[in-house]
Amino acid sequence: MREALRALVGARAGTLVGARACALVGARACASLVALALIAAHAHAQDFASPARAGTGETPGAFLESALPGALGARSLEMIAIQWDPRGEMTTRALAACAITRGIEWGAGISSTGDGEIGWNSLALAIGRAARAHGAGVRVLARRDRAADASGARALGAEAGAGFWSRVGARGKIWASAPMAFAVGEPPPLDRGLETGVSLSGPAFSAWALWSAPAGAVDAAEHGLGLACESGALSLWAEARSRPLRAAIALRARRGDFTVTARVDEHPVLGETVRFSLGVGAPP
Amino acid sequence: MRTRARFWRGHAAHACAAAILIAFAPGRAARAESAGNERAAPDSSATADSLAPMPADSLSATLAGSLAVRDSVPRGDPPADASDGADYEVERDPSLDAGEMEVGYSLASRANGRLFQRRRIEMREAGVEAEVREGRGDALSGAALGTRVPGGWLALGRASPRWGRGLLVGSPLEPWRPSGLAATSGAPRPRAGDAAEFRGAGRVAVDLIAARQGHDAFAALGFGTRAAALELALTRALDAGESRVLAGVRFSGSDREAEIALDDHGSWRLEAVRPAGDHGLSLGARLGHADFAGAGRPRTAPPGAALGASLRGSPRAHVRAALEGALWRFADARSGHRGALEVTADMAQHEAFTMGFEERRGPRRATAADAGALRQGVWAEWRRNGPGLAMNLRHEWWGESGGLAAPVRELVTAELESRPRPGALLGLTVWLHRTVAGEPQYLGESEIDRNIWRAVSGRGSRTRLRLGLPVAGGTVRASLTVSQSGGSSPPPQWTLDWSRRARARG
Repeated sequence: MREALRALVGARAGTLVGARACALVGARACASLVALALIAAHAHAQDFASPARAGTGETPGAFLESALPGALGARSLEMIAIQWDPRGEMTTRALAACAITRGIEWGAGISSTGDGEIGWNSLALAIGRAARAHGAGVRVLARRDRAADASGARALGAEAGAGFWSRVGARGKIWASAPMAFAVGEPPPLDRGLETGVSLSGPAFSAWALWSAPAGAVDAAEHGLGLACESGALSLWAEARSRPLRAAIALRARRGDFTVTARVDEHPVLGETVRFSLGVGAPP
Repeated sequence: MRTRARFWRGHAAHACAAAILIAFAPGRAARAESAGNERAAPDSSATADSLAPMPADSLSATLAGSLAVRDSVPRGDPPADASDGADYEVERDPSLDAGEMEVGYSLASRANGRLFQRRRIEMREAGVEAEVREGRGDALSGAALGTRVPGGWLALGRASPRWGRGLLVGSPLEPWRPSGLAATSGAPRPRAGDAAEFRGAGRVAVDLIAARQGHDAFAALGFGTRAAALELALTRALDAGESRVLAGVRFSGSDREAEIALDDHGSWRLEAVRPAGDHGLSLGARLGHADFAGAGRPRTAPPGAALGASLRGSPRAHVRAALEGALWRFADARSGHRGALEVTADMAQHEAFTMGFEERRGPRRATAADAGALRQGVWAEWRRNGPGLAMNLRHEWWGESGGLAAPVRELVTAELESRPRPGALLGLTVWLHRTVAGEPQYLGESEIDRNIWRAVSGRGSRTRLRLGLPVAGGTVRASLTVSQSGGSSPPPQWTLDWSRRARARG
C-alpha cells in the first residue's frame, strides 16, 4: 500500500504528480496522496513533524526527526497534531518526550498517521550528546502499517539515522542530518537522504539556509531560506523552499513551562498544511 | 616481557621468511592485473627507507593539511591510467615506528555474498622492514622486504620504484592533478610489480634495480650523489619482445629538481621543477619527444610536453590560497589545460572553510575515447577536527560548457567521526552522488590497511557506518555499508578487521 503511494509521491517534485493523480483516483485516496505529497514537499519530517525551526532540534519531536541534540531542557514533552491536507483527511498525531541525564539527551515518541485504511503507527527513539560548540545524535524509528495486506500481515519497517551540528564562530551554526541512513523491512514512505544547513543567530533575529535531497536523487535537491524574530515569549518565523516555491509561517508563544506553536505551510498546488504542538518543559 | 619479545621476534622471523617466499612466488603480477588495478610505487629516492606508498594529493587535501577527518582518504581521482569503472585500492601507510610490528586479520562480505579473508603483517625493526599481505582476490596481496646490507639498503618483493622525476624509472607526474608537475608526490598508486633493488648509502652511491612491471622487465643502474646521478637502464617489452637501452641524468637540490632521459632511438624527455612548498611560486616543465617511454611503460602514455605553475600563500591571516594552472600535450597533438583557485579560511575551534573553482579541458589519456570535454567545478567544504571529534560537510558540482546550469557530476558528503577514547571509534559517512554516463566519480573510503576509491555511477547514495573498539590487546574495526544506485539497493556490505600493534623489543 505504502509502496504504491510512494511510487506517486516519492520524489520531491512529486507534488505535481500527486495533484494529477487526483483526477485518477478516488477522493479519499487522493487526499492521502496529496497529504503525502505535501510531506514529500516539506521534506524535513514525517512522523514527528514538529513545527520547529529547521536544523534546531528545539522540540522533542524535532529531535526525534533530525537527531540534532542540544536545544532542549532537562525534561520536555510535546504533543503534535498535523493536518496535512485542507480537507483534514490525512492527519498525524504524535507524542514525544525528552530527558537529559548526565549530559546525554534521550528522546522517545509514538506517532500515528492516517487512518485504519491508509496509515501507520511509529515508535521512535533518539539519543544524543551536545557540548557548547557541537553536538551529535542518532535516531531509530520503527513503523508499522495500521491495515493488514492481503495475507493478513501488517507491513513493518525500521530506519536509523544520525545528525550533527557545530557552532561556527560566535553566532553561526552548521548542521547535517541523515535521518534515514539505514532502513530495513518495509521501506519508509519518503526518501529523506540528507539535509545540511547553516544558521546565524542574533539577540532578536535568526536566519538560516538549508539544502535537502532524497538519497536517490541528489539533483532533485531543494533549497530553503528562513527568518525568525523573537520578542520575549513570542517567536515568529517564516520559511521559503524551492521545488516548487512555497512558504511557511509559524508562531510560538511561551508561558511558564508551556509552549504553544502553530505553523502553516502553503503550497501553490496542494493548499495548506497546519501543524500545531503543545510543549511542556522549561527551555534550556 | 621477555617472553612476549621472543614471541614477536619469532613472528618477525616468520614474516621475513614469508616475505622472501611470497616475493619470489610466480603469478602475483598476473593476480594484480586481473584485479583491475595498475600498481606503481613510492618514490624510492624520496623514501629510501620506507615501504610506505606515495600519499595521494589533491588541492583540498593539500590545503586541508591536518584538518582532514582522520580516517578519510584524500579526495580526487585515481591516476588516469586506472581501469574505468573499477574500484582503485592503494596501500595505507601503517606509520610504524622503529621496533614496532602490526598484525591484522580481516573478514569482509562481497557483493556476490561470499566471504573474503585477508591477513597481513607489517614490521619495522632497526635495519629490517617487512610487509606481507595475503588474501584470495586481494589486489594488494604480496610481500615486500627491506633490509640494511653492507653498503646500503636492499628491498625485495612488491615494489614500484621511482627515481627522480620518474622519466626513466617510475611513473611521471600527471600535470592535470593539483600542484601539477611541481607536486612533491604523484597520483595515489599501489605498489606494483616485483623488484629487487639495492640503494647505496654514502656520498657517492650506486643504485641497482631489477624489476618486472606490467608488460616490461628492466634492470637499471644509478651512479652518483644525492645532487646528481647518472642512470642507465635496459628494458625488454615482454609482449612485443623488443629491448631498449635508456640513459639519463637526474639532478636534485633543495629547491629544484630535474631529469633528462633518452633511449637508443634518440627519443628524449626532459623535466624540471622548482617546488616552493606551501608558500611561493612553483614551476614545472616537461619537454621532449612524444614517443619516449621509460623503462616501465604505464598503461597509458603520459603527455610528452607539459607546463605547470602553482602559486600558494596566505594573503591574509588565517586565510590560505592556491592558484594553479597547467598545460599539456599528447603525442597526437591533442592538448589540455587546467586552472584552479582554492581558498581556505582557518577558523577557531579547529575549523576550516574551503571554497574552490576549477576549469579543465583536454584529454587525460592518449586515446581517442577520451574526448576531454570542458569541465567546470566548484566546491565548498567545512571541516572541524577537534579533539576526539571530526566533522566534515562538502558540496561539489561539476558542469560542462554551460557551467553549473547542467551539472554532469554532483557529490555531497557528510561525515562524522568520534574517537571518545584510544582505540574506540564511531564514524558515519553519507554520500549523495549523481553522474551522467561516461563521467567518472569516485568516493574515498579508508580501511585499516588501505585506501579505496569506490567507483560509482548514476544517481545514488552510499552510507558507511564504522565502529572501532579495543579488543584482545588490539583494535577491532567494523564497518557496514549500504548503497543505493539507480533505484536498486544491493545487499549491505560489511567488514570486520582485527589488528594489533606491538613493540618487537621488550
